[in-house]
Amino acid sequence: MQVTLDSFALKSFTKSLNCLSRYGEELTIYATPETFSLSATNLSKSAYCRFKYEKQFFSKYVLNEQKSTGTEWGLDEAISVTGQMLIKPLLSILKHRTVEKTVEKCEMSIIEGNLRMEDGSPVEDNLVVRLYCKHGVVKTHRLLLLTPTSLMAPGVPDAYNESNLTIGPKAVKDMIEHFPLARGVKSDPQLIWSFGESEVELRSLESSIDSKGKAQLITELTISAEEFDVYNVYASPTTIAFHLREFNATIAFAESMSLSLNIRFTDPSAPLFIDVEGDSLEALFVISTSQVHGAVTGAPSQYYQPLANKKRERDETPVDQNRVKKPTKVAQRINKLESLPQSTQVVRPTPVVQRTESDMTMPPPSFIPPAILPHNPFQEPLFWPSSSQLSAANGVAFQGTGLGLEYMDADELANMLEGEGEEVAYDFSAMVVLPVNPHRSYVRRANFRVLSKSEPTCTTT
Amino acid sequence: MRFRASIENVPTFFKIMQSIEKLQKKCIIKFTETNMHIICNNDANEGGIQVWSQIKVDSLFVGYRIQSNAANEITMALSSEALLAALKSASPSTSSTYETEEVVMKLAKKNGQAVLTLEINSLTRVGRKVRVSHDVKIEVMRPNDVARLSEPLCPEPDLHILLPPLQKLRTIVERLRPMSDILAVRANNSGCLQLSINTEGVKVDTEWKNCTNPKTQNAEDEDEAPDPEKMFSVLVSIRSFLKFLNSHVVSTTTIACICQNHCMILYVYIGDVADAGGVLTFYIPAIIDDENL
Repeated sequence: MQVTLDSFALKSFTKSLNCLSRYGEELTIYATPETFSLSATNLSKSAYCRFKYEKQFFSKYVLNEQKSTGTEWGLDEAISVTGQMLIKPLLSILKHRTVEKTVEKCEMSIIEGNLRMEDGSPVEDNLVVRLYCKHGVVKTHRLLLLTPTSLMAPGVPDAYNESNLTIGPKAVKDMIEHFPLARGVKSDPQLIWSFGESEVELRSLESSIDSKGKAQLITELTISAEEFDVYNVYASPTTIAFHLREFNATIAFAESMSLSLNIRFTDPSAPLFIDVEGDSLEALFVISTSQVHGAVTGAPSQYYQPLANKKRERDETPVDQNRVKKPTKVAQRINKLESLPQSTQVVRPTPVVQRTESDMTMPPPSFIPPAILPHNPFQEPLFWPSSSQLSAANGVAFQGTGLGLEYMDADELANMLEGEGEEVAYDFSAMVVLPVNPHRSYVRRANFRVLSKSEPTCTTT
Repeated sequence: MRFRASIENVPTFFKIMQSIEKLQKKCIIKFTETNMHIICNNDANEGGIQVWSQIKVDSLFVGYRIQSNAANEITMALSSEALLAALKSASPSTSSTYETEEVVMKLAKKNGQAVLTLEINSLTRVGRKVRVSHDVKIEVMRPNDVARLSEPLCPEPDLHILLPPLQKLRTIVERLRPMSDILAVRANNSGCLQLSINTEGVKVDTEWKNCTNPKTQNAEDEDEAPDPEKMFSVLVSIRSFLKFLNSHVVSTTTIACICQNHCMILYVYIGDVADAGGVLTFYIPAIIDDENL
């Protein structure tokens, strides 16, 4: 595969990468003869974003034809190239100050390692970035490209109860600016949005990760719905809550490109979809929402299930009406490529769901492996309202522990933490990694509050 | 207990809180019928710097109403960062692009929690109304605890001197900070001010001349004219001094007083000295250098 970008297109491309880097660490590239997609998913899979460039965006766009093995699927768009890599290195190449000023064109090519090693494992692919700068300077960077280990695909919203809104990035930024964000990387604040008949209300929600200073402040903002260019709420009031980190990244991207945001959502337990469309560019952002307890919802939630036997409700805040459950995943791990024959680098770009009542077209997800298309997506929603998943910030905190916590779901974590047989409220933010011993990492658990009658304990492992 | 006022001068209030917030996470605000006092008296803060300020109600608020059983005074402890964040959103000078029409500050109770509510009514870019409200959690202090708050006692200062613009002092002190933990402040009655550090490795003296020595009220009492060239000095923690210098955002005039071997008092005037809207008083305790005794 070989693509060439002129300096103008490169700017837009870098902005996309910048946005992707705020969603996740890994970039997935997916190229078909007509489109070139870049996607990223965050650590806890609660946010997904994808930029899809049309062929016209590039000054040159060539895909390796001989790689085509997709004909056996009987598909037109069978030729494709995929790859996965870390975003940061690529971004640091393109975002470099001198590059931004002097580059005239940028050529990216994927050199495929068709050869196989002796043990049968394939030689890694390379992404070669060649920058043609002023004065005849040519910079070549070679980046390792991995085969995607898993394919992420966003779910598709149901059409009938969908609300859609359009708003300019500046207007929404003005709103969010009134909500002070806690300092520090770990903080990932959530906002509760209530879309009413004629007014939109935003409230801040203190999540467990916030630094203690911010719990001191609760902010509310009420604004006329007229601030939205399009305001179709299926059932008002609809209340949804979601994390700001990725949303802010989306706004920043839309603002830098001067494009407006088309926001779609269904009910509080289904994810939020944001479309940003520009010249030869379609960007899709999916952010999982959390359900707000005690919120008035106009429409009955179609996914809502009472969670009677949930083990670890955060019981320490019974007064708080606005308890929010953990966000759900927006992207699902679909399959391991290894389980498919070699030819399955070709994936079938068929839309998962035929949309019934909407005239809006949902862009197909970048990866839908043919083997495991859901038989009936309506019966098996991709998103469960349960809180079995953990938020991004928790995920980051867990990764630091070295206990493999990030691979557990909430129940497993609860089981692990309840090894002493007591039910305790656990404050995730209090988990501190002390890099004292280079060979082991310590996890200090503080802030255990015992909910049963036995006396408080504080354990250190 | 009732309290309600609309903040007329948001930028000044914001700047005051900016300098307070750098000092201490929590601060005490005492509202009386005529003044607002912001107090930072936490001994825990490093270097022992304290702030006792007094700001005239008229210089910040309009429509100020206060009522309580404790002689119409309300004293509360709150997170300075939270109040600062709330004021930031109300402040037209910062990034907010909404045009603020009115900012009302009032005492309220929400879900059993006492809060100081800031209600901001503003207009968007296209002139539509936006309401923003911030609830800053507070603890209302009991009169007994309030009575126990007391300003530090200091002897009659040996010397008064007007400091050069704090911004300029700050650039210099920030350079000195990596080299020493202790700063010597020296001044005399003929307009000379010195900031020095002296460590094993380095000795730096910075001198300002032609500073003003303000006349003190009881100047006529001093029968024996002190030697105007005599230097008075005090050693303070350089970190504390830098914390005080954070008030450069709000300061117009600053008078420094040196009580030799005891402390340094700094009066930061908000607005003109003549009709000062208020004054922030910083107390920085002296570090007693045993070797010199």
